[in-house]
Amino acid sequence: MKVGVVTNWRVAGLLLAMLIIVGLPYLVTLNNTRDTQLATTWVAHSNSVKAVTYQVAYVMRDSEAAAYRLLAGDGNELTRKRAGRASSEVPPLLQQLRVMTIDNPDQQIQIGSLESVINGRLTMMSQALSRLQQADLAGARQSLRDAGDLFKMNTEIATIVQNEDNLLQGRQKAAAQEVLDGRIVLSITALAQLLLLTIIVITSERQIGRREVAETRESSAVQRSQLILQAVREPIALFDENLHGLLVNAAFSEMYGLDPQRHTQPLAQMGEGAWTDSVLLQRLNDVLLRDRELWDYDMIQRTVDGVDRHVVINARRLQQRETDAPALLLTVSDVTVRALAEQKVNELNRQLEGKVTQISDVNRELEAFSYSVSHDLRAPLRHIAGFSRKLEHHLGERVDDKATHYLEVISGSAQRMALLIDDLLVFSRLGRGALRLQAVDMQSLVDEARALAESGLQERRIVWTVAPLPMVIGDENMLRTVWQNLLSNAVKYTGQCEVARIEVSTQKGSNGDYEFTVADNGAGFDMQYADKLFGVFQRLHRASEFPGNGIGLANVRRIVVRHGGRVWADAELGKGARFHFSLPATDLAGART
Amino acid sequence: MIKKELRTILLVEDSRADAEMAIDALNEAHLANPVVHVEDGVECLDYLYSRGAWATREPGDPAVVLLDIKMPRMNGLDVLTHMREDERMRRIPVVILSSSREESDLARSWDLGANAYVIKPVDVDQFFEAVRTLGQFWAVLNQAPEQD
Repeated sequence: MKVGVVTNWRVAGLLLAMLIIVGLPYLVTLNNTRDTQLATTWVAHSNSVKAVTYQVAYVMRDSEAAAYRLLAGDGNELTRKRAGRASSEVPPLLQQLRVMTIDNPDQQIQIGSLESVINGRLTMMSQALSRLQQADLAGARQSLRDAGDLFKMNTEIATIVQNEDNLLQGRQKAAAQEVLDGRIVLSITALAQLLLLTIIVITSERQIGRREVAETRESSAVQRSQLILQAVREPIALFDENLHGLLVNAAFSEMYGLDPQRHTQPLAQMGEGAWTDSVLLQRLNDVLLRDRELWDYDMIQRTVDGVDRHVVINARRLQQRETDAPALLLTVSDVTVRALAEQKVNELNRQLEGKVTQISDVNRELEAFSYSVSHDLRAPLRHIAGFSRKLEHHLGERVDDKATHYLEVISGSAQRMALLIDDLLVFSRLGRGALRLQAVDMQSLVDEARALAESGLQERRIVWTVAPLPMVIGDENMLRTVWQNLLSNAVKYTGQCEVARIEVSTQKGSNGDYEFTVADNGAGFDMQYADKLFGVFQRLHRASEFPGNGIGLANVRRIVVRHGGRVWADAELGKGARFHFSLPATDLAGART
Repeated sequence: MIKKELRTILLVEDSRADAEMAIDALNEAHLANPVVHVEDGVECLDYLYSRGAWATREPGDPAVVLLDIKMPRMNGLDVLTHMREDERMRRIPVVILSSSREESDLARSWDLGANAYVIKPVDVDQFFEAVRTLGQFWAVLNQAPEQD
């Protein structure tokens, strides 16, 4: 809009300048011509005035000359006529002169005085002629002489002629000045014309240059977008309102086996039946006719390579710039790989769900199993123990040492089995149930476990070295079990040392984990059995040497693993053992909230 | 007092061996209270409502019900639920006597209104001691409200 207004003003200005520059010289020339004509007229006029003036003088002198001849005795009729002509001819001439110089007061005055002089001379002449008739020759001669002496007309004639000459000269000067002015104006306008032409030439040159640059730019932009269009791996095509191809990119040609030169065929004939789906064609027509965008239309197409491809089609209407007719922009996304991957993921998920179901089934069975262990296996043990006691009572006096021993072994075994069952139940419970995560102060857990391990061992000499320990995130009860097991083990296996040294330390692992170590100078173990250390009911020492049923380290491992850490040990037989476990670094601040 | 001494101790236990040991233990406590043994929950309710095989029994609620959890037909927790829902029985003391150490069993028993939960010890001396103490406490020491 604004550009239009500016252009209009510029055009108007240009037109005005053209009008002035072309029109002005015309006017000037016109003016000059008229002036020249006028000047010619004036010259002619001045010449006429001068001629009439001279004629007045001539007629007067001719009449006076004729009068003199009459006086000298010439009685010719013609001479008589000549002598009389002045009085009849001069007044009209004077009248004519008056009319001719009516616009010039100076001349009128001069003509006035000429008239009075002429009138004087004419009067004297008519006096002379009448005296001649009366034959008074002397009087006639006197009159003629008086006419020449008293009424001299040369000065007046000369003045009038002079005046007319002056007038003419002044007019010619003015005309010359005007011509000069006209020339100057013409020169200026010529210069202006030159300037205007230069400006027009420069401007149009510049505009042509600009247009060329713009055209180059546009064509290179078109070229670039063509390149991009052809390079894009996604098939893209443009169709006219009858779904005939206007433009297809390389990917489209390749996917549907098109000859790039022959892409103007109808869409339905492209790709050997890939585009014959009537629902899709209907939707594409809707896009063209009703401007309904086609958004992520899923379908399976058999393309020319014989592969069933899962494609997603998008289409929208465009306006063709040249014809204003609607066009259809079509893009095809081949999501076969993704679809296959999704299928695979779904399949895996299904399998996983199956596995999860299996696992939860197994877990449920395990729970039922451990419940039944806890409930049903204990009952017969109780009965064995109870009835061996009843048997002892029943035998009363008859029981001998051997019978007593047997009964003791029976009830002792039952009790031991009950303990094993209890341990097994604890172990299985550690593997089930959710971790109750919270911030746990390892220092206080160690102090607690140490007090518990030492209780009732006043005669033992144990030197403890406990480093400052951090807060971690974990299940407090489970971690308490870990420390109780490790520290009671350390106390137990240093039982034969004179002075037991137990050291608890911590350090940051390479990946930021916390590593805790319990080192002792006790019995240690043979490293070749190290892999058995953390198994359920696995023991590296005889029960008579060190009591226990081999569940403690299994519990430790189960707890640490459930916390995402690991547990390991190194030792030397007779010199001590070091048990390590790690816990993953956790964001304490985040876990506290 | 006389009435109270006559109140029975109702032992609900499907295991004959356990029942025999429990009865032995109660006998060792030298209680005057008769011990009645029923073998499952259904029979227990029959006794409490004096119906079925127990239709002709002496009237009166037991001093305490020693109730096993895991039993055929109707288990101990169902019996407990039933008793606590019945206006006439909700005051009868119930002691769960079970082999189960499962936290869930403990929690449910207390929630349902058990008066005590005792895990049957495997150790025979502890078992006798526990049952003896239970009998003495509930039959002798515990003061129950008078019956209607």
